[in-house]
Amino acid sequence: MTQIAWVALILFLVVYAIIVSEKIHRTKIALVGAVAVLLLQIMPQAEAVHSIDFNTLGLLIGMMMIVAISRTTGIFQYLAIKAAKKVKGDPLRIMVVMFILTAVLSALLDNVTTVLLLTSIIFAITDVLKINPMPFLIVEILASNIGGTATLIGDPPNIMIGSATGLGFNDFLINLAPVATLVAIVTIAILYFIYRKDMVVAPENQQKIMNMDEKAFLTDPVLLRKSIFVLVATIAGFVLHQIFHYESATVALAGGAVLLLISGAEPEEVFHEVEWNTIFFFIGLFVLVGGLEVTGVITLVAKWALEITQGNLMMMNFLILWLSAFASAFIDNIPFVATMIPLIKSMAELGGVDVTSLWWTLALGACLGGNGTLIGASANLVVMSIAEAHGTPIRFKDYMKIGLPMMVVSIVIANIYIYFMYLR
Amino acid sequence: MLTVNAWIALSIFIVTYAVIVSEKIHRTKIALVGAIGVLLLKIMSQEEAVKTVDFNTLGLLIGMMIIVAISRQTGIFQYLAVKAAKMVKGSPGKIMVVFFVLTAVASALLDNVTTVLLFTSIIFAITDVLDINPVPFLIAEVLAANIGGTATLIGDPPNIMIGGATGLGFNDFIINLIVPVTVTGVVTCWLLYIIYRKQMTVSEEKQRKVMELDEHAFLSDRSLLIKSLTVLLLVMVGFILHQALHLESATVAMAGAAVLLLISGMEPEETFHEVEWNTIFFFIGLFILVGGLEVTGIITMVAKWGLDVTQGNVVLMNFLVLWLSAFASAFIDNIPFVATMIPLIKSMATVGQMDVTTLWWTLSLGACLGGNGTIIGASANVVVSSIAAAHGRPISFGYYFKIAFPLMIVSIIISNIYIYIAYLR
Repeated sequence: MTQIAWVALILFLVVYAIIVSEKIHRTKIALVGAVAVLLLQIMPQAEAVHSIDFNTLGLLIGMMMIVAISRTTGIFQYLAIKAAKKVKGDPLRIMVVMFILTAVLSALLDNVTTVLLLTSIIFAITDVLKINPMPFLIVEILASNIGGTATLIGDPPNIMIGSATGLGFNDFLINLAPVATLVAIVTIAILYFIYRKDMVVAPENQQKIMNMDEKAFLTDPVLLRKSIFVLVATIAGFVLHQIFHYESATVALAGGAVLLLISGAEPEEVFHEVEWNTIFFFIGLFVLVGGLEVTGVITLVAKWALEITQGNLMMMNFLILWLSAFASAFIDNIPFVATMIPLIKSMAELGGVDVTSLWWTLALGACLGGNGTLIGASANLVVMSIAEAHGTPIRFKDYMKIGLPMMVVSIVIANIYIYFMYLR
Repeated sequence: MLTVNAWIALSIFIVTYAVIVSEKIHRTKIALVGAIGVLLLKIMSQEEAVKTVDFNTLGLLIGMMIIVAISRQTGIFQYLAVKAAKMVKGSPGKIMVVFFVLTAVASALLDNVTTVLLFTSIIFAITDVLDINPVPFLIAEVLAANIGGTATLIGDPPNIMIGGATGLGFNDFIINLIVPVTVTGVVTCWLLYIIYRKQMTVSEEKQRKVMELDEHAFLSDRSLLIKSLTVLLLVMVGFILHQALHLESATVAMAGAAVLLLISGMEPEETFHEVEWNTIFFFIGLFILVGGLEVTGIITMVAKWGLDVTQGNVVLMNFLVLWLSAFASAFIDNIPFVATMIPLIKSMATVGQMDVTTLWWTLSLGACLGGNGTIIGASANVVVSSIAAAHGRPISFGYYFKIAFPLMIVSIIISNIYIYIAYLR
């Protein structure tokens, strides 16, 4: 290894350690690390810009803009109350429909917004039912991460994998939606079994749910129609993007720009709703990982990984699946996936193997792994902080008792799926 | 002669531009929709579009905006504003002249965007204190930044590009450009003073009030002030030395921003909210729109036409390059225009066996000063007008045009006379 490679590696490890320690805001330290890559002349600015995946950023920003405008219409709250009334306010069945609603919305929109809006409405429901909200909150977290696994746009790891490999929306849907559905069914069945005895409520409280007016949440019907139109068009664009040779970011940004134009929203306010912390965290990480790439560190690790697995694709898959699941349960899955992507690419080049199955393995491990602990994914953190603000904090240990076994079950399912689909 | 794609790119550009000028729709919205049109109609691929975006400018903007957002909390800008207002005894006319000179000198040494970001904050603080219309000061700010930047190799992107392409050095630029720049600066400042003289009155009571203000009272957070000033100072030194250090200016600005974000203990979320995302996305949209003109060969065609019609005649060629680049840079970003002109002028030197050194100075004067013509002619203009809009004092396209376009023409006439006398007689 050259001297500059050592510098890049040490810088990367120090930044990673600080991100894991959570002593300093992750965006700050990622930016400082990226700037250090430039100041230490590990690579010039032009190359650093080149290592940033603008398709990932564009897709994230576009979807965030669409969500920022459409969330003000109250559609999320409307759907949640409507669903609760459909099942006649029965708590156990509310849990099931919330799981489904969260999973579907998370697959199409970003997880954080979905849980942010649905969690507040869940508290409204559980307050009326006078019932412990904890099972519902856990359902929120698990469903959002499982649902997000199913599509290209569902979860940041998938967005990154799609951008880096050219795999499209339909590729993700075909390869991941079936296994995500299976995991969802098993998970909800187990949750149903666990909580079935805790869900007793007075019939008059159940009646109060029936008296809630879901239409009151729909504040702006004109904007609602525009939002739904753009959302449907954008999702259609994702389904067709490979046929028309558009990149996914073009589709998302087109949706964002058109909705911005026709909604009459102030661009200033919409841009404020974009999570710049996340965007700059991504930028910092891309540059840091880029430093490892140009100095040859990634190639070195890839060689080593090929040696220990002896080019055995099955071992590689299982190793990546379990490694990424446990890594994502305890640390942020974004930096993990950002590092794994060039590594897998490099392994493909060096070993001359077809690594397509590895991409699905990485996606399943990194997305589902986020369910393992309360800090495993951003959606988990959002639910945690809303619960805290509501005065019913979720404890790390309490969550893990349910979340970690469920995560292991989902990874076992994923493992079996990968084996039968790709490795036999 | 033009391909179908070139026609489409040109139509999108013109329609978008017309909507921007009409100010019927927020310009960020329409620029983004136009840029998306370029992508959806396949004028170029997303990857190519990303390449046409000048991330050095964006990085510089974002970095400096973060630094300014954090430093603003210390009250340093109000402090400087009150101090300056007291020094000229609250006379707004004098303040305008002082700021014109300071901005011109600063932007000759620093990047224009940085200069206007810092000075605009101070200008708003002053006009708030004196309770007068900030718009004349902002227009003076824009003009001074572009004029001052023309004087040096590092002052304005076209000069950096010309210097990089030709090997002409820092001193060559100063020696050849300082005279027309100084004359233009003096004339412009004088004309602005005449135009706005009548608006520049402040009641005696107000003047007395200003003299009574205690500038030290504005400095609220000492420890943050020291941190901010240290970072700001280091960034300035970094800008002046950035070529010697082989660091691009965006790297310097982002380094300052990241370090200040880290040591100030500020919430990144809040700091990112202070960044003018409207401005950033407007730039992204413009870069892609102009990029569409670039990849379809329209800019090359215009430039070639200009050089073809003057075949051989050096005097005519200089005048045409001057006026062509002035008008082109008034309406499109001058960076892609200069990028197109440089290889063309170079090839003329080899093909026509002529000495083209004069043409470099002509190109520099035209492209840099031309940027003053419209409110979106140069980065500094866009930044100032965005900040003004954010403060609730928008400068309309038409109003700016009415004041600045004639002043731009004056500056090009001055340049024309200078070039003739200094090089072509």
